[in-house]
Amino acid sequence: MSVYSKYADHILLNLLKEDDQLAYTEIFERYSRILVNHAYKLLGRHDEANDVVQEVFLSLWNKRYELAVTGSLSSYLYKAVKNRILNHIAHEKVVSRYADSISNFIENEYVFADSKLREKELEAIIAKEIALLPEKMREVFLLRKVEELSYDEISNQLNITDKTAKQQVYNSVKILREKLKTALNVFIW
Amino acid sequence: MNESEILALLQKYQEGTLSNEDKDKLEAWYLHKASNSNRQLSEYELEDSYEHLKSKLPLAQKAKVVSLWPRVAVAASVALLLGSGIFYFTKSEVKEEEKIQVVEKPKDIAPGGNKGILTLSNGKQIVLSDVSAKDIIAKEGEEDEVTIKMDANGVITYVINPNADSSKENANSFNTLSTPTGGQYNIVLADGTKVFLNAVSSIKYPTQFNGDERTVELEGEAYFEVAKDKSKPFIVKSDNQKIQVLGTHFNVHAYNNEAIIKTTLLEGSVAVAFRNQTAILKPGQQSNITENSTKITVKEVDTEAAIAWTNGRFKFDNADLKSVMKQLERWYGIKVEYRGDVSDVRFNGGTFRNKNLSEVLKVLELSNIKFKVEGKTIIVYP
Repeated sequence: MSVYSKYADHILLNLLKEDDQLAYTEIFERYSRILVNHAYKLLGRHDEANDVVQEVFLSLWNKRYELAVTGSLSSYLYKAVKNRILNHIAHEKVVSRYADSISNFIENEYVFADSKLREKELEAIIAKEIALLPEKMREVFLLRKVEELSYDEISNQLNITDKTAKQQVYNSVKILREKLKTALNVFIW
Repeated sequence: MNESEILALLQKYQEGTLSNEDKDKLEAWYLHKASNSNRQLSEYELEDSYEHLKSKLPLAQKAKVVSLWPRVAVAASVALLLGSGIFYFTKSEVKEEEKIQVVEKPKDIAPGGNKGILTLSNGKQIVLSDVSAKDIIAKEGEEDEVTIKMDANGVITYVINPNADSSKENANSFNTLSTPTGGQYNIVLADGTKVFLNAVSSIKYPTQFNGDERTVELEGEAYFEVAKDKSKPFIVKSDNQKIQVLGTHFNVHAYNNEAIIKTTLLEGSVAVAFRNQTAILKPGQQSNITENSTKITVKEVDTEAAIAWTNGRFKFDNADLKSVMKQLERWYGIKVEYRGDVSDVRFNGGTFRNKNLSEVLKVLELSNIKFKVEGKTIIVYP
């Protein structure tokens, strides 16, 4: 339904809350692939990534009337995937796959940050993952996101003191910018 | 940290009993892992996931359509009068012995209403139900020459600032009004032309009409009352069809999931152009074009049926089942499935668009057809 493909994410969300199945379908069209890819980055198993994303979309539909989304649709979906994955890892049989990685990180690299910073980090990851999608999918995905194009603003809006984190976000945004410049000259920022 | 400590941490995360710092540790790890992972599924694998998920989720799917055979010649023979006489329906083929049967009392599905989304020239999208009446919605043009307002009835109006320098030839900036499922919306363009936009439709138009033509692009269905301006023809483009008018009332039905583009003229005169053909319509006539044909066919129709939706009504004039069900899909957000051969069913008559779906189906069932409601899927069978 091409009318829906032109709606910005927040419009789709608005319609979804009113039980609009076409809006739900459009959200799926936009985000299913990139979320599976994201889940795969963490899980390393294709079928597990599918299962996680399936649960996220099922619960999006089941909870459509009482959705409380404060930020963007994309960060809502990514957080939902994050919660599912952390829950999945909390199973005894799965945790061994990750225990070393987690303890290594906490003991050697972890620096405390507030939730605002984590939010920004997540936004940067989303931007980067879009930039790294296979070209055809990225184009469709981005062209549809009408109102959320200002990823390059992320760096300006950052109110971050931690240098490492700032650098990390900056790098992601830089990669994104370069990718987009070469691949999407149709784009007007 | 050993494995069991980490497991304990994760389980507390699940329960929501972690301290902020411990919670942040896990989330920071997750983000770190995500941004440093080089794993990437191939395009092929992602497509595979997409298809897999599609089969598992409650998505809106294209209706399974039993092909509708060439119409069986229909003689409307019996009109069933119902209630006040507002509803009347005819059967395509009357079989005396068949009793009208309501198979199941369908669960009520509420009708649509005034819902629209306005896209400004800068790409910003506004949900119009969130705007209160009499508000200025936005200004367009380099020097704010155009003001977009909502009047007391919720109609969107484009007002050109009388002090604006009209001698300047501004590049047109475009707005788009669109409607979701179960939405319709009215708008007055900068030249005074009134447009009624039906559900799941969109119209793109300049915020002011410079130049020597007034061109708009339509997808879906709209009724136009074009303001007279003989020096500037008004042009409606939909797919391959182009309609040119001077000042008339007409309805364009051009959904890209329906085979036929229908243009119905109520007043004045319009020229319908399609490929190399042009047809001039007279009031009361409707032109039909299809993708597979190069011809424009013109016939006399009940114009009231074509524009009933602008008056809050459904009205059918020997309408085929598929086109009726498409209207209901767009207005009630339902999905229709066909079981068995229902190709010869034709509808005449009407009802109101503010009724719940069950009431509309009850009326349609008088036409020798049955419906079964399963959630938001309506199964149609003979």
